[in-house]
Amino acid sequence: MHLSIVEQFRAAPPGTLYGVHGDSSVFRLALIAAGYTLVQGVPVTLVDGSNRFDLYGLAEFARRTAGGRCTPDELLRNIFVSRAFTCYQMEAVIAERLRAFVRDRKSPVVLIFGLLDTFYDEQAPLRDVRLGVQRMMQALQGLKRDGVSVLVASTDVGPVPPARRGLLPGVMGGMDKVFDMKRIGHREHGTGPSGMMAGHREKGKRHSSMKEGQGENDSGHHSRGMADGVQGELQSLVA
Amino acid sequence: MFTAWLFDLYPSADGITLWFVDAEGRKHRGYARFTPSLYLHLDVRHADRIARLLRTFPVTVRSATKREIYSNTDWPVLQVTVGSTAHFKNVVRLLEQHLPHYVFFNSDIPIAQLFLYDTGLFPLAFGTYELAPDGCLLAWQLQDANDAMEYTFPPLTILTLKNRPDVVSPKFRKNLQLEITYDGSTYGLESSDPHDVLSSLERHLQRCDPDVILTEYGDAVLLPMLTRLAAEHQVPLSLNRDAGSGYITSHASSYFAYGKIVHKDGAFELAGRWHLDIENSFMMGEASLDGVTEIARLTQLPVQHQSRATIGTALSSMQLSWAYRHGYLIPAHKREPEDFKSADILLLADRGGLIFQPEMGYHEEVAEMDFVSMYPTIMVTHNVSPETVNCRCCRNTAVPELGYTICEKREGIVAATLRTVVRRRGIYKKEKKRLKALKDPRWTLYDHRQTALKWMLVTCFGYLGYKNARFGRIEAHESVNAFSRDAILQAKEIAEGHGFHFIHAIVDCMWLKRSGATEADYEALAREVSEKVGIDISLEGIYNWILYPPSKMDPRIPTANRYVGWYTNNEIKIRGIEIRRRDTPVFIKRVQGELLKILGEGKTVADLRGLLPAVLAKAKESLDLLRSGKADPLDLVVRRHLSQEADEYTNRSANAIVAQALAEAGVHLAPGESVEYIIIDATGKRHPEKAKAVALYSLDDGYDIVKYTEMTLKAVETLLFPFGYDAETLKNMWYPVPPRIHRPVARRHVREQGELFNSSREAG
Repeated sequence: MHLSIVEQFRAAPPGTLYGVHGDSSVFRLALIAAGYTLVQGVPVTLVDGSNRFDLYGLAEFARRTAGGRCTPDELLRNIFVSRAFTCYQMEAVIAERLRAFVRDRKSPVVLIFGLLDTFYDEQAPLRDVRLGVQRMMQALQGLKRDGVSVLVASTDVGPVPPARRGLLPGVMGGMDKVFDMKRIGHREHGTGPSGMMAGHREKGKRHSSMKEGQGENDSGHHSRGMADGVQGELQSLVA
Repeated sequence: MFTAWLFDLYPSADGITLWFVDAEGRKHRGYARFTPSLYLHLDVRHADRIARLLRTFPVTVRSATKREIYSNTDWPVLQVTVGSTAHFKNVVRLLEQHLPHYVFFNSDIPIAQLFLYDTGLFPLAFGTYELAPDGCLLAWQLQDANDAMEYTFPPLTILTLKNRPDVVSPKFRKNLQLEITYDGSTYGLESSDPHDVLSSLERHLQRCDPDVILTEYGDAVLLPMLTRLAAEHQVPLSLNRDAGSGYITSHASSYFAYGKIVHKDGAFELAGRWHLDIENSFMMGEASLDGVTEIARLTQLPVQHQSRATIGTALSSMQLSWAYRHGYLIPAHKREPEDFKSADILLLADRGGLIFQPEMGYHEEVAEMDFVSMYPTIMVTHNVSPETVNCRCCRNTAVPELGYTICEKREGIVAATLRTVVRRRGIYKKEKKRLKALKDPRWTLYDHRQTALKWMLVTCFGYLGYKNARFGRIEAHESVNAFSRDAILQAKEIAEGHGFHFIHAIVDCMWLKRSGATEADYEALAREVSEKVGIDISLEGIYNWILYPPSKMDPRIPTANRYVGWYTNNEIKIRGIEIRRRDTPVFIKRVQGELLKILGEGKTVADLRGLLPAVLAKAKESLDLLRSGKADPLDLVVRRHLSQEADEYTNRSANAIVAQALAEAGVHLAPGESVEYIIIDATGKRHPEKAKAVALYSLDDGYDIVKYTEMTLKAVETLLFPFGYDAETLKNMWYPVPPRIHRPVARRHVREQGELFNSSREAG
């Protein structure tokens, strides 16, 4: 399953919106997915709303995986980060700055960590939260139109205020492909995470290459073209 | 027309109600008409729509131009002026339902503050005021300024109101036993009938007519209880001087700060008097009323509000006032995100101040040198501010390592507001030193003022990076750290150039030595460093010896912020070790203190070795007392903060057990509040309760000898580890056999003292 996310992200056509949710390993997984893009010298942009960007993990990835194609320093120079600590900052960076930055830097890949984390702060009124999420989703659609691929990595564990529990399913519903790390398999086309959009589950369809019951060591995908050594990377970095 | 001090102000139907106190202590009541404005970043075409939306309110809507602070450009805005202060919040609320949050400016500042920013008045402003016959403020002429170094203070009548002294805090008590002090007399108010207590209190309030009601736990317990009982028993209670006004209250809250949960009691403010709760005011505790009023004047926060406000709120108010005066828009929410930066820059930028780990153990002839207000000085001298770092008008690489630009064309809001604070504190410190040398008692006034300002300076750096700081930005925070690292590295190079050996450094302090160096040598070094680095550094003192103990987690490594040392002038400095910690039981603090006193007789490390037998004997004597069961349980009280509600605990920790026991006894404690308890069986094997809250403790409960022995030995280990004595070694040496008793019943004489545990003891 994890391998398939990385592989699909690498092979995806430009302008695809990905959502991945689960426990905190989603961030490392997303970073690995981006890492392969970085290794090829392609700039990546990261918006971090959960303070989960692991600089050292990325440098280690480069050291172990790049195989001389780039140094950790080169890799770090090619990923651009903005951290948001409040929902207002998160909204501002995604809705007002991201698209222009991505254009300027010619960065075709965007990672977003913890898109909603700051929106769970109950000090922010619900009306501001709803507006903020709406504006961010519009911005993501704008990126999609520009041919930019976006991977939104979110945790779905931990307490969420009751009135905000619908936010994550709503966001995932706007993604082209969604991966639920807790489930084995994933769904496409706007279906939400398991248990959060139970009523919509029948609308989703299983990805043809995914099989029910495929485990974390998805050797089938690995044998279908994943770069050498990725299996080991995932075991050490994602597990 | 009269000459007086502006004493209190609050919004009312008239606009702003004002209270003045003159030199004879007479009170003058007035009001000011005030029509506050908010701004909407909307095109003028929306003006009609906004006016229609607000048609039921007394508002005017017009187009205006205001300056945006980050871009430093003029923005076209709609100015919504509200004709009545009473409607301002409702107008904002209605607009918020129809407009996105990012168009709002100047919309969430408390009205009384807005009035002060608008008029330039400030709490305790001394001047001549002119009121119309109906009390309307017509004009004023100040003989004062809010940044004046010397200022006068009105004659205020102070009434102290508190629960009768008890070892148990009022939060854990339910009965009404009041003690009132004014005009040098103390009165006890106690009766089983609340009506009698309230009537008596009312008589005292009428007789004293206090300007200030000083309480302990007045916000959380006393005043809410008194007003509730007064309503229930229909007894008039003149807590407010303004009988027509309600109380200004807010709810208690618990929030995360620096990784731990903190509790803040709600507020209970009065109209026409000040209610100051010593237990709910950091500044009252640190700097007394002198400090509170110093900050209130400077920040233009009404005194009652200021006394309860965080330092961040005080800093923020200075910035809001500055922005208001300079015509900048004040955003309702901080929205300025971090600039995109490459990860290699982030790697450099996302670091704190520089720390050189100390060499573990005892050192002799070490000097400590501290940069004076390093971070605020950096902000002021380098113009570090959210809008000046990476500004949109200049290009330079002013910030070391990071290469960030700092604006050369305008002074930033943070630098501008801090400049006053830095300057004032410097002057007050000098004055305090001068008067203290003359044994002039006024030195305490300047000490309180400089202490209050110190906390602003201590906090200002953290606030710059605080997520909710109105004018904060992560790049500004990173810049200050970069400048500080640069400064201490420069200092290190200079010192080493003169043959000094670096022992340890933490951000803005450094410890160094050179064999035979004198105070004059260090003073010369301080002058050179100050000149070359651009930040004053001073010689804190020279130690006979200083100890850097090992980490509690891993004895092979030192910790940067735990140390203790005796200066050559016989003063001691202690940081981070047990005696300094608030959660250490008094018994253990006393043991460690006695050992430090013995060690203080040594001038060299060799002397300390010679003192070891005396130190060991003293430690054993104390431990023997503990293990005999004769220690006073009150000296063994442990203080901890609750991290959650009593019913949310899923474990059986002592905190959980104590919180749940208190809840069952009807005492509700919120996350962040502290509990005090005595450990009766840490393992829970013999007694599942593990610990008893002080409020519920009975002498038959005893205490856990094994646990307290372990804790005391750890405190001894802190001092003696470098000499080869860790807790395990000491335990094996002194107590190889486990104690026969684990939970001794306290001695009879303690039982007699133990009336302390009975809250009704004084009634008898």
